[in-house]
Amino acid sequence: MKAGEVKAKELRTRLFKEEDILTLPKLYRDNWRKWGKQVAMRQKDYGIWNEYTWNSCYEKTRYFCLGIISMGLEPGGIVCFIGDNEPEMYWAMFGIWAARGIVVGCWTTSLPHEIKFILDHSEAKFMIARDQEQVDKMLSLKEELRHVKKVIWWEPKGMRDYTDPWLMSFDEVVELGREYEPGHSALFDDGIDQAKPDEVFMMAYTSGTTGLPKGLERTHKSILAALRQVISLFPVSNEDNTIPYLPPAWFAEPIVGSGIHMTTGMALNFIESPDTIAIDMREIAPSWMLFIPREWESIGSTIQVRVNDAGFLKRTTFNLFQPVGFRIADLATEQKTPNLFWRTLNAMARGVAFRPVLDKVGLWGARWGVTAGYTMGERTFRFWKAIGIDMRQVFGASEQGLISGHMQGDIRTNSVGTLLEEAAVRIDDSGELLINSPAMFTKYHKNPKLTKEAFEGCWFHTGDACSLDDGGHLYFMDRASELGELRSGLKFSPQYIEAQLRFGAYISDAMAVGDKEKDYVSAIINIDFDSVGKWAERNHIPYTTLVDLSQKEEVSELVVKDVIRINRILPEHARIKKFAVFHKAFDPDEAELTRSMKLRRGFMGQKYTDLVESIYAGKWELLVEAPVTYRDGRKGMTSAALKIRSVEGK
Amino acid sequence: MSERAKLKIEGLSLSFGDLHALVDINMEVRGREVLAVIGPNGSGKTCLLNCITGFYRPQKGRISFDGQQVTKLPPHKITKLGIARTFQGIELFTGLSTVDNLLAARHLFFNSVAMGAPAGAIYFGPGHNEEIRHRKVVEDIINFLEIESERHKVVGMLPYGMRKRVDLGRALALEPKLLLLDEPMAGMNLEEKEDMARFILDVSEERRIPIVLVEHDMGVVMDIAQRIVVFDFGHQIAEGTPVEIKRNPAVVKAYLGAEA
Repeated sequence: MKAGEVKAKELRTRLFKEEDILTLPKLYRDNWRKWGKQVAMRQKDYGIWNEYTWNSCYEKTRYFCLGIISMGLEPGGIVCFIGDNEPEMYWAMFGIWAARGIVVGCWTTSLPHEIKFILDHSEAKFMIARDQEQVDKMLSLKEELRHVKKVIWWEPKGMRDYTDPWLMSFDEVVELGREYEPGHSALFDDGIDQAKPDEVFMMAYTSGTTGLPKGLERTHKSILAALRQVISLFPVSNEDNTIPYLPPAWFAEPIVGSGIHMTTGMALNFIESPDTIAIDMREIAPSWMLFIPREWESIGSTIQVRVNDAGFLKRTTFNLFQPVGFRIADLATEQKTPNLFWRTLNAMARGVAFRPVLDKVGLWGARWGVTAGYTMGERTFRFWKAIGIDMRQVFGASEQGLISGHMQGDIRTNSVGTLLEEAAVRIDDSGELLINSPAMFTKYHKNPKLTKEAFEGCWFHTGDACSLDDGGHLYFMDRASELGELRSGLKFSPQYIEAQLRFGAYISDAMAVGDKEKDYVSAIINIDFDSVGKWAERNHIPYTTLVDLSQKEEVSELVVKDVIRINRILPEHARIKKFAVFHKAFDPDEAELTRSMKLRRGFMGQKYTDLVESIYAGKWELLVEAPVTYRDGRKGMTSAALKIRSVEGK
Repeated sequence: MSERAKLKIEGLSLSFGDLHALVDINMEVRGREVLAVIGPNGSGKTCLLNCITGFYRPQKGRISFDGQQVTKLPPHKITKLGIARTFQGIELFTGLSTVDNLLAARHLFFNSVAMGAPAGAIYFGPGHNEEIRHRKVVEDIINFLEIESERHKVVGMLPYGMRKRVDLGRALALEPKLLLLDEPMAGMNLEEKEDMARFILDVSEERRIPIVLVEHDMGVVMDIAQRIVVFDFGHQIAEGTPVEIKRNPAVVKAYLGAEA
């Protein structure tokens, strides 16, 4: 066993043994004592990776903590934040936790009224907002907010002329902490010592696939139970590196970012800007990457497009070796060991074809690829396994923490893994999954009625339709409410079909349609503007805009090929018979996607009823007018004549 | 206004043969304002910038910058005094990367050339240190203009709006005391225009330097300029705040025709 794995095992034992004492800040303090001079964080700035040791991080955390206490943060007080993953935000979070405060995140793309809802509902006293853009949103709400005492920002660009005393910079808070220290220096350690594991330390507002956001409360005990589960699947230690890039407002963030850093000491590496993630990932070569299937799909199709665009030699090499990878991946899935011949070929394939490709996308050092959120399409899974990523599906949700995951050597591509040690599950008669686990959320913030409805004794209704097989593997079909049913009574999973469609090199997004009044499944498809655009250029097809390009006859031909290929792996009744290529991208600003980029199916169905009805009414063309919201909040209309196409040809 | 004029133009006239490009222009740029110069096509806006930067020699009049006469100086000396500009048609080195384009603008501040070719030719020593020093300035600009992801891309491959941004970056690399922008938004889409407007305001706020903005897009001009000067056929026909300019009958006539 490697040194890192031993450390992970020891930590896990400790988390079990000292369950009734440990909190995140306690572990953080222990780690600081152990690793003071080692690197805890790196941040790329001005094109250079700057290092922060545990000592320097701890100092910032400590002074921020004292600073915010001096401004009146009390144990149990709530602090809201909005911003990208940057060290300042983590130091602030750690400091707030040390002060026994509770943090709650907003999405950076949230509109002011969405932020207001969270601030009002949580009664947060402080707001930590990254930059001018977010501060402007706060200033626009200033008159309406009753609870917020201070807004703390950390990115100085453009902030020079902001003199409102309501605002304060991160550095000023740290400075305040320094001034406050004499006479109050024990407050920091006292806070850490006094905190109890069953205190709430964070809240997350669910992304609102269903109705208004609900605030989930989470205790130290529950996060540490979740982290225990994570290190049982992925034994990471302070020798590992990760890029914390999950939106901090997301419930899963502590599991792969802040929390895992505070417990295992895994170093956090902050990218320069969201646009540079590809380059930065390549330079760091993180030990694992967690993406939702959609993102794995998109990197996968990028690789395929790049391979197709590459020169003859590179293209041929990759295509020659890819079947070797597939063969090895399939054998691994069947739990068979490849013979020497295949092993040799695979070693060659990795050296010559796969590793260089993985290096380009920054996955060279990835010991695991992790995917969560929903089930990854089988083709995507096989693709990644083939080029040498140890892809693991984990399954969990905002409310319940982790439930299952792929264990070493026991991987089935279409399952979401075997049940984790501490998660007890039950499937009721309707096929809905019930769960009881220490990693679950404790209750909904200020909503006992909802909490009561969600629990049946200690069992939580997940709302997910799942099945279990004899090998202990769990299979996720869909949200119980989201399974589609056709006139024939046969059920199908729209999400599964969409995941398959999205993996097509020229498709970026899709919505599968079908209900009790419909005889067959159809789809509304978004083309990938970049790859289709490139393809059009190569084939000398002139176009002006996305709208124009999306309705080209040639593009329709291109998409139909993908659809036919996907139909082959779908059950007969769930195959796509007709589709329309949509003229614009699905957009969270128009509420077509949630902020975590999940399709809002019900809403879309209503919004585009005309289109859906036309598909089933046998029309071949429809003039669609869609409202669009520009970035600055202005509204406009786009209109386009959408062509509807049958998969078998007209 | 009591603020001292940074740039003062008095009685400036420029003609090409019988064509009077600029006739008796009198204007000044003050403190840290954003001054817009507007006017129909061919009204002499770019000629004005070319006179200020020394590309054209005006027949009459004088231009002084920080109290110093610059009318007869060659362009490179004017640049050294602290006047930088961007171009209407982008004039970048298309074969170089973004970083190299910005570093090229730092040429003016490199000493190792003056210290003799050997210092600049050897990797270690003063040449090396100097390069690091200038790279810092360049990275600061890259950060400011949010072009991190384009840092090592060849400029010729960048989209148009991005090239305009690099062009602005190069002007900033000269650490100017006065910035002249020649139609920074020409040919941009709405989103790119909004970004550029944001950057111009940021430059004005963060660097605290005056900016002369030659621009066609009236919406942008009205939004970000503090003062506007209007040209028509080489004549300066109006000067004032955006509100005054909107009401000025001479401006309305030049833009909308005699009846309006």
